[in-house]
Amino acid sequence: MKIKSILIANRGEIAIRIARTAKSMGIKTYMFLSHHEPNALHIEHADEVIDVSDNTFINVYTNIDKLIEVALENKIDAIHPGYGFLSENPYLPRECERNNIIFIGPSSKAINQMGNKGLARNMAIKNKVPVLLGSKGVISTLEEAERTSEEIGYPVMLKAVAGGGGKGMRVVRKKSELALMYKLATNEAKSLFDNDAMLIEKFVENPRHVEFQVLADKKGNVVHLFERECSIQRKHQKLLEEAPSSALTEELRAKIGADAVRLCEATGYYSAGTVEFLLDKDLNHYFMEMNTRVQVEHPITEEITGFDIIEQQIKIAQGEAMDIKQEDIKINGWAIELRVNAEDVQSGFAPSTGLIEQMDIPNKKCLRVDSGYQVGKVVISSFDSLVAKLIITGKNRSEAIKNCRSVLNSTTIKGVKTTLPFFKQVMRTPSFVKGNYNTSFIETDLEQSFYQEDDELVAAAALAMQAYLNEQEKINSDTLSDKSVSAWAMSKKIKGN
Amino acid sequence: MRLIHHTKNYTLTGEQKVTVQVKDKKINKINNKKSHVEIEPLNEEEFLIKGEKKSHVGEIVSLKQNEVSVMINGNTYTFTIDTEIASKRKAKLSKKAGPKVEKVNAPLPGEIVVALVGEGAEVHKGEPVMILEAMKMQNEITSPINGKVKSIHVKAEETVMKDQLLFEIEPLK
Repeated sequence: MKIKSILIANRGEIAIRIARTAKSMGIKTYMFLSHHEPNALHIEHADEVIDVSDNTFINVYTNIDKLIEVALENKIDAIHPGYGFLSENPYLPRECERNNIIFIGPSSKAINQMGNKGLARNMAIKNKVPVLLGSKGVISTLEEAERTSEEIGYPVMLKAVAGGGGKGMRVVRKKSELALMYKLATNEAKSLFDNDAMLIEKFVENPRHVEFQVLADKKGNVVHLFERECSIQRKHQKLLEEAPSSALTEELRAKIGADAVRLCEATGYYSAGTVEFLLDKDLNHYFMEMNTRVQVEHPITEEITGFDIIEQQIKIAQGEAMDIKQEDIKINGWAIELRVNAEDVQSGFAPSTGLIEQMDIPNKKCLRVDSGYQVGKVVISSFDSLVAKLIITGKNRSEAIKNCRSVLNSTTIKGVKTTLPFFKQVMRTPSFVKGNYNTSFIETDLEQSFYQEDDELVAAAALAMQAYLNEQEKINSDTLSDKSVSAWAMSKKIKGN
Repeated sequence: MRLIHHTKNYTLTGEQKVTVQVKDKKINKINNKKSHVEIEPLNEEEFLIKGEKKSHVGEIVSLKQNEVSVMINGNTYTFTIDTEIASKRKAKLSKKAGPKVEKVNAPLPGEIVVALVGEGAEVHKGEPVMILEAMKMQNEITSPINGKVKSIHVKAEETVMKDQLLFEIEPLK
């Protein structure tokens, strides 16, 4: 059945991204207007807006009943969940199926099997995809965690079975740390996924994080669109991704790609998906987890392969056979994604909320911007902090980096603090420029977390001093009033006081 | 007639310390070097700061008595401005008064998930004391110093405002 309408059960840049492809395919899009974001940008990109702003008790993006109700009421053919929220909840595709709504994503069974880290790990073992030494089943008590960690040998990684997106993971370096880390990980998992079951695996020191994008249709055809390197992370949250990875040789790329494809074939997986691997310093790869949804960083793969992943998801969902053969997929150039988050890098990446007062991003051929914000929009604390994805391309890696620098130099965002100063620093860090980095990059390679230009401190001190002197002058002249005031002080009313 | 120059030395205390000499109400030296910095307003908010090597665009974020915050290239610099003498006196006094109790406030609005340690517990710098959930993230609120938890002002499931006092850490003697 051809999909004629889609309910986009998401917000921000990904809602806009999905609408863009849907529109180009002649599909009508529906989005929600929620009380959280009465003037959200994504609304402007929808053909039809479902206003749920009266209902302040629900988060519509995580409410399956509401989604189904709206889809049925408006006779919408399909639901696209985007990423986050319900994208990896097996109950949504199940409910969709019961109500004859197409779910643009994998089957409920596949999400159960591959989205659960414990089951996915067993699936990998069964299909001869290498995994790290780890617990046999799930861990649900501290005593079990102690025993298993002892058997595996420290350091170990605690992982929430139901986790994803880097949440619910903790490294435990020695036995004395286990109790606290177990408490932290289970707490987080309970709160985010309502499931505090854990998995324990051997922790690999300074690994690289390499993931393969896969596409699979309902007829059993599976291909991969090569890898993304996602080693620039802070607390397991990706900040910058690039495709391809400078760590892989052609041979290794083919080998890991084949592992990813085999895993999908064995599980009857369909839709887009990502198989994540760790690469140790000797370039051994280990299956980590599978993400059964479209990822934040999917655009870099689109840029180097030329395929529209959302379009493929929609075609697969409506039952079409994929017309892409593995041998037709080629890597063309290099792409880097910078996640511009509303975070204060100088205060340990603390979220920064508020009104976007200025947002100047240059218009360049090498730059694609996926954003859910513009000047006048408000970043609130209810949702993630992603303001814009800057997707920058070049014919090779060094040109892509050069283009990143030039884009960063002419990008200004004001009103909220962002990760832009962080990326400026990354682009000047030798290990990154050489392509020789791993997940410990931020802790070990980065001199400081934000870039300071030459004499920036001196300029800041001069400006602060001058502002102070002017203020003093103003106070003096206000009290004396007969003294003349400097033209500079007159022309400038100091802001914020 | 001979001109009588009026010079005054200031210390700007922030993440990094900067000394400024003001001569006849103009910035004369920065960090003991002759200053060539020129500042001119660009518009309502921004200033062009022309340095020897490079020019920067900056703005004043806030000015409250002698505390000034400016922003340049997306970075924030907050300085406390004192005369050199006052700055030295302050340093001396704070040394005499001994280590001070660190108050930790909520960095953003959210909900307290759990306090990981109780009052009286010893904590190291950087060790998590409680977890605050906000922006879909569980944020660990860590101890800024090595010390003992003097008091905890919030409890689990409590909603907190930005800058609300969460706990106090007393330095170890």
